[in-house]
Amino acid sequence: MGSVQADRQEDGGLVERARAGDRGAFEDLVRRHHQRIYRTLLGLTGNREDAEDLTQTTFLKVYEHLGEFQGTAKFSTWLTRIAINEGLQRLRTRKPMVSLDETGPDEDEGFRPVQLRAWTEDPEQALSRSETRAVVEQELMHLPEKYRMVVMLRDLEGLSTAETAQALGLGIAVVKTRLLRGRLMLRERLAPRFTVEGETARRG
Amino acid sequence: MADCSEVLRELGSYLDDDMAAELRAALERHLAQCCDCRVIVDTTRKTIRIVTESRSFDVPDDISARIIDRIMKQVPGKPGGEPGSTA
Repeated sequence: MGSVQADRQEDGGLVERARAGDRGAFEDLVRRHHQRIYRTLLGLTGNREDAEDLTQTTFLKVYEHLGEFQGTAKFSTWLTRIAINEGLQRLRTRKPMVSLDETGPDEDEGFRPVQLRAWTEDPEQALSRSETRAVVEQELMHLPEKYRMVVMLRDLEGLSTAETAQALGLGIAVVKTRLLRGRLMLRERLAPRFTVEGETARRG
Repeated sequence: MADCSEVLRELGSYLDDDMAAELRAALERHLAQCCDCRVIVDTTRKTIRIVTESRSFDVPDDISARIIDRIMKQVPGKPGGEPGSTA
């Protein structure tokens, strides 16, 4: 994980210089992270205009609050946390009840997989790249936010479980539960596109 | 021997390779005999791989450039400004 460590050090150095008034260093931080933040906000809001607008808001807020960044967290995790809070605030103007908090009776309920047919060995070959991307985007957007955001941060952005927990302000156990549930829900939704015709898993 | 519900409960840790060797061995003994659980493990792995490799929600180049431009226009100081040139 040398490159992750190097990235972290590099971000740390850029933050230091940006704090000291180096505008170019801040621009480097924007260039390094804006795509990730845009993707996360698009996944949260489902709207490209919101994602673009909120990405700007997030970075301007980060610029204002650079002095409060604690070197104990990774810059990218801190940034993601701010972006998600901005995104949730925007969503609440339309859907007042939206929340990623640890409430909700469904957390511990069992989830039973229904699709039990085997998939083709190489599902990526079943669709073109752009089709696969469109399908994944569409099916991710069908997941409730609290599962969608965990799956996106872990499986699309490659954050660790601990970083995902930090970015969402959740405990690690909750992140693990939601991640599995989200992946299984997505699996159910993707299954009809990738199952091998006629190859039904035997029961028992 | 683990059963189907235990496989499902521990699936997250199994997929992320975050479990004790003993439990892993117990799950794998069950998997060797249970076709449904093997399918669930395999298709969940494929789901993760598809998401990771999908490049979903990628930012088109023109939007990327516009975002950077709009942010930097609101940051004090001149483009290409040297350290200390912040207004």
